[in-house]
Amino acid sequence: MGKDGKQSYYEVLDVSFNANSEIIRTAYIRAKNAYNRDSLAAYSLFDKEESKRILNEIEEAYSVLSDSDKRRKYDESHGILSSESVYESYHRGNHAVAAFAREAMSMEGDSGSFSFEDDPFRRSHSSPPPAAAASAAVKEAPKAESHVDRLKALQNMDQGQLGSRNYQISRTHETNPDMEERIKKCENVTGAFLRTIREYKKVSSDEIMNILKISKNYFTALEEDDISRLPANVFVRGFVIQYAKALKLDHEKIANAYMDYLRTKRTAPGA
Amino acid sequence: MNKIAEREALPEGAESAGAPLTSAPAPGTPYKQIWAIGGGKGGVGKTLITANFAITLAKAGASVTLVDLDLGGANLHTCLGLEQTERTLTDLFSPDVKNLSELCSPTNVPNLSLISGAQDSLNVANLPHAQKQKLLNKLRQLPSDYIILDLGAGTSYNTLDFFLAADVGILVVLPEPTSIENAYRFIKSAFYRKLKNIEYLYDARSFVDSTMNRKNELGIRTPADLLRALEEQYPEVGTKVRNAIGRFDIKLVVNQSRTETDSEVGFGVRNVCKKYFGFNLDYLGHLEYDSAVWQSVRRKRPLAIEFPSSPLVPNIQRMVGHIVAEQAEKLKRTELGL
Repeated sequence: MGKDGKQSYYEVLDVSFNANSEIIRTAYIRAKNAYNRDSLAAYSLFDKEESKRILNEIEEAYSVLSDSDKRRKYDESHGILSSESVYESYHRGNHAVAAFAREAMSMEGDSGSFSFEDDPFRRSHSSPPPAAAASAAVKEAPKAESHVDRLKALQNMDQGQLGSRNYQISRTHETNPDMEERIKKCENVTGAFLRTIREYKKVSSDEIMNILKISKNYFTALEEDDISRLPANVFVRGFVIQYAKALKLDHEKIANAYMDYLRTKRTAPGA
Repeated sequence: MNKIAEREALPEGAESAGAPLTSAPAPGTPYKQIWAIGGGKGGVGKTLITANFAITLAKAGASVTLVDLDLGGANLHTCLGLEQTERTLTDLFSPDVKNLSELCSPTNVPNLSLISGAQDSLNVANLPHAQKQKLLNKLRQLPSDYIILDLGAGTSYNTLDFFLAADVGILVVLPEPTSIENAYRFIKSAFYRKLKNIEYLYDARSFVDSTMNRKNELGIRTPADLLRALEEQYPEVGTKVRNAIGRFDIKLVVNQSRTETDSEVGFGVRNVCKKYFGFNLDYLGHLEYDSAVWQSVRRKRPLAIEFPSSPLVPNIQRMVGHIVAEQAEKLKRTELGL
């Protein structure tokens, strides 16, 4: 949420930047149902007038996000890379995205809804195969491994959960205690610091850009702390959250610390 | 909700909030989780869901202790087909009880034990802060992987504090106006209880208090507005508060749904919570109305044992699986120091 208190269209519908049209439609219907006159969910917290205002916001958000042209323009003007889905990336030959998606899915122990079985890049992909990554994850599991694993297996696909998966990049890198301490402390989080963490975790800028789906322009502005080239706070916050998630950081903490920095910068005289 | 509970929920209650209850395990203690199940209203199926969540965990091989904290209206033992146990939480503060394990009774389910609720003691129903903290510490020391708390109805400080101190807080609602209203009242009370417990509010405290009035001049109508305003006017405090509220992890179950509209209510509540309170509610899903449930209650037998083929059982298992997976992920991140 930005300083001006205005939500982005994605926030209004409670979907992620890379939600496909089907997810957006479901979210729209659900949001509308939530604020309808006979809805159980809203009446006791929002009065009729407020519900009406929220319904208008929902309509506005949907009218843009459901129209691919309008959505592209909205995304471009707010620094969100074109909203192609992972599925489309794969079929258009964007194997880097596809490979990371596959890795992320196998890390989570479910097959997801796409099949990458016939991906010719699979064999030549340089990072550890999904099976190895998964078994590494098991080793890290808490002591009571057996019942936790059994219970985890009970979880089928999330029933109608909204939003798409958050992709994470998992890579082995040398652990540096000083660096870990700095990440843990979460002080002075600037774009430059985010970049330091990214490089420490051996993740390239292209990989992050692909996952974040933001344009190179905004990406470099973020990492180089070129505040004047960044979009409105609300969108920057979204980027930082996804950036931190991709690097498996505490995204709330990182985003809050970064937003503090950004606000100070933006309100500073001469900014 | 009864009047006493309502009065207790007012910000100017008789008991000062005191320091927040701490429940973080000491470093080096084995993996252990406290789950609390509450709901603003009685009769929404909390006890039934609590029992079946616990059985699901126990059947997977985890050791589980169920604790009936529905102080004053305890009946978890009946739900498990047990007679009233010899010792109950009432004995908690008697001098000859050294630790909580002495109050545990075995159940018919392997790995699952029960601490029955107090039957009549008003003393237990209104625990002072120090005793609550003591009870919470003792709960952490129980030799179980999972400690599942069945909280009573209402928004008394007891209920709120145990809910907030637990690792996982689950709210149960029915798709009915009164139940949803009560759930919001519960969340609101928990929100302000948490806010009140934040020690570092300092000079922002009077600002927060001035916004408690619905018709305040700043136009702050919702907790989400308040968070935004705090961040603007007191950036440092605001960020801390947002972090604290960001860790607000409330899960929702819609019980006894009969239509598709009923099950969709959960998504509506989630959307409204985001806009009104500014946090992400985790909607676990809905449980269909099933007459087998009522038969099982009448026969005083837990559903997951008596009716393993009920369509509700896989749904309950899925919810438990989701929580366990999510918590394991969270723990991993904490261990990595993130």
